[in-house]
Amino acid sequence: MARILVIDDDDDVREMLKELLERKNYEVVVASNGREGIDIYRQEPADLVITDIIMPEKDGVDTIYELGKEFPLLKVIAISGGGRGNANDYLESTKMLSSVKYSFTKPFATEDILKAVNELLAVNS
Amino acid sequence: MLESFRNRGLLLATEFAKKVAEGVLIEDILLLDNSANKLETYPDIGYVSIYGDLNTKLITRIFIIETFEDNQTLKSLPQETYLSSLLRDKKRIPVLEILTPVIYENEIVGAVQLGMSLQRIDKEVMNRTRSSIFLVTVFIMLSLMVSYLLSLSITQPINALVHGVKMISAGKLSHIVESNDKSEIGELADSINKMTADLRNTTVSINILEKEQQRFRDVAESSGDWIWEVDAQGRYVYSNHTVENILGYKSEYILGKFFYDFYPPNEKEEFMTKVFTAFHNKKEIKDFINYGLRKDGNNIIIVTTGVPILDPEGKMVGYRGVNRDITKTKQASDEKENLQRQLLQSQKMESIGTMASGIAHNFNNILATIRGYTEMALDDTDQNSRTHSDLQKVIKGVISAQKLAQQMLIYSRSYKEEAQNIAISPVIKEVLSMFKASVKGAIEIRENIDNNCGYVLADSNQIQHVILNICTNSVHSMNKPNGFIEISLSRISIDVGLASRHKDLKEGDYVKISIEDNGHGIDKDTLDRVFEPFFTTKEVGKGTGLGLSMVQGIIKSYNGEITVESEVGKGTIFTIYLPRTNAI
Repeated sequence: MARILVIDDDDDVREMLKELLERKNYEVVVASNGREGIDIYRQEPADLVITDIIMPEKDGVDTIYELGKEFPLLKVIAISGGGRGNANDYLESTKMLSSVKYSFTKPFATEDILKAVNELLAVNS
Repeated sequence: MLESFRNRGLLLATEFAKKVAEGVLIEDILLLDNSANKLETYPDIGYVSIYGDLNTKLITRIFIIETFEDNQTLKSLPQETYLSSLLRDKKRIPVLEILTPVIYENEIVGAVQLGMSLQRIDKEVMNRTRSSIFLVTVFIMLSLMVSYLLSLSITQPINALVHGVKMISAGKLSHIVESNDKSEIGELADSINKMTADLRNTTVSINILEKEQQRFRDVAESSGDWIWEVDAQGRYVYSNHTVENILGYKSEYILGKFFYDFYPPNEKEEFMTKVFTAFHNKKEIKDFINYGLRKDGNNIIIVTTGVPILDPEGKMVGYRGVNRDITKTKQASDEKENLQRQLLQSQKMESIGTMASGIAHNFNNILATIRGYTEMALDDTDQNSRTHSDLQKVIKGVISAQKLAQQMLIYSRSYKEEAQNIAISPVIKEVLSMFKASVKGAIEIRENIDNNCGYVLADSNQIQHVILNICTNSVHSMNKPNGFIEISLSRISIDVGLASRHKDLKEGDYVKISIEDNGHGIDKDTLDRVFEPFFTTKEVGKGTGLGLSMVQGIIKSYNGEITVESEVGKGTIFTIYLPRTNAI
């Protein structure tokens, strides 16, 4: 069973994504910020990371960059709520990172997320 | 005189002849010598000779040498007395010679010859005359000196007085008339000195006064302020020349006029009341802001300060003070205030922007959650069920909310559409044709498009959104026939001067889009706030208040600038500047 790490500082969004993915029978682990996410990933690498961009402690871009260096096979779907300075520029910049396969802006359509997840994990398996 | 002289000679001769008769008789020479010597005491006897019997000369005594001639002899003895006056040759001295017989016992025994001269007497007289002349001279000299000294004692103080008075009249008030005597002149000198001292004191105070006056005049005339004095009725009795710079009237014109003659008609009553209240209470007028009506008809802003002038009884007899023209200062401070307001405005916008982006972020998170759960719920419901269609409406609401959040982000400039090089004139033309169709000829649309404006780096949809937004506002401002909206597009080169007046523009090539209407215009207070987010003049629910703030956000995101000018009743002009680029 594929394992997905969801990193988001917003509890509601994190829980919603967890439920959405578990409904599709994925194993989901969650973290509320980038630092926590990296720790979890290091203990046991996930098949896919879905991460928010603007977060306290360690933001999405840093997290993706750091994990990408350690784990070349890292696959990421980046999502952002926009706002707060140059959030969209940030989201744009994540596209430059090879590990980021898809990026979405909130409020995304669940259908789009699931389609991307399916695709990425299908290739993996 | 000669008669008495002759008689005296005769007497002297006959008496002497009697005296020596015995001696002649016996020819006693010693006795005769003694007798002759005694004659020396007579100053008028020049010489004496005594003859004896047989014509012999017994002795001769000469007392005055010039009177005697040695060669004379006697031919015979005289029988009686003879008298002759002779002029001795050398010095032509007159000599009276007396020859008289010497008789002894009625017998002529000899003769006496006596020479009388006035020479000694003359000498004496001369000597006496000389000494008297000397004495007289000395006396005269002395009296002259005495009178001179006497006169000096009188004229010197008078001269000193005259000199002193001359000096004083020449303005040398420090001069003191010297006088030591106690006479009337001394008293006069003392009086003059006293008078001069008084005059000196008066003059010193006059000098001080004059200096003070000069100082006041200099200060007053060099002052940039209008210095004035009015009487108790408010009539100008003094004004410095600065009034001409302030009111345009010469100070001579002002004198005699009332202070309220120079108030603008609208404010006259208000200002008069205030000033006369101060007059009534004898109160100081302090920093009283009022208006002045200039000769050229313009109003100026004046700040007045004045103090009451009180007579010794405390009665107010006038006011004096200073008027300062603060029109320019006021304008400058208004301008400053305006700038501060603009700064405050931009700070406000900035903070609203930050807030908007923060709200948008959280909003999107909430919307993501709602959408996620709703979609999961949709998955769980029968597609034909009512719940399904209801949940679909929730999704629709989420999408609308998402659009609003996006608008907020546009405003906060953290949302950027795809900007690319676009030819600006076709974009404007396209939106204008759409717009024309929507107004359906109710308003005249004038186009003034330069087709050679080149390219700008922007998103064409957003530019069209901007133009439509402004044009729609214009349509809403039209409540009269013959309304028009004129849209112009041209190239413009921004120079240093223009750049300095527009904070978001730099030197270089720009395109200028202006949208002008003849609608009802925007009042000043509203104009200041048109670009403020959530500011709207429309009824609640009719407008979000984000329209123009979004427009400004879009233009700013392309490094452009939008300005607005408006006059109530005449219309409004929006001008947009966008940097021109070279087509790739």
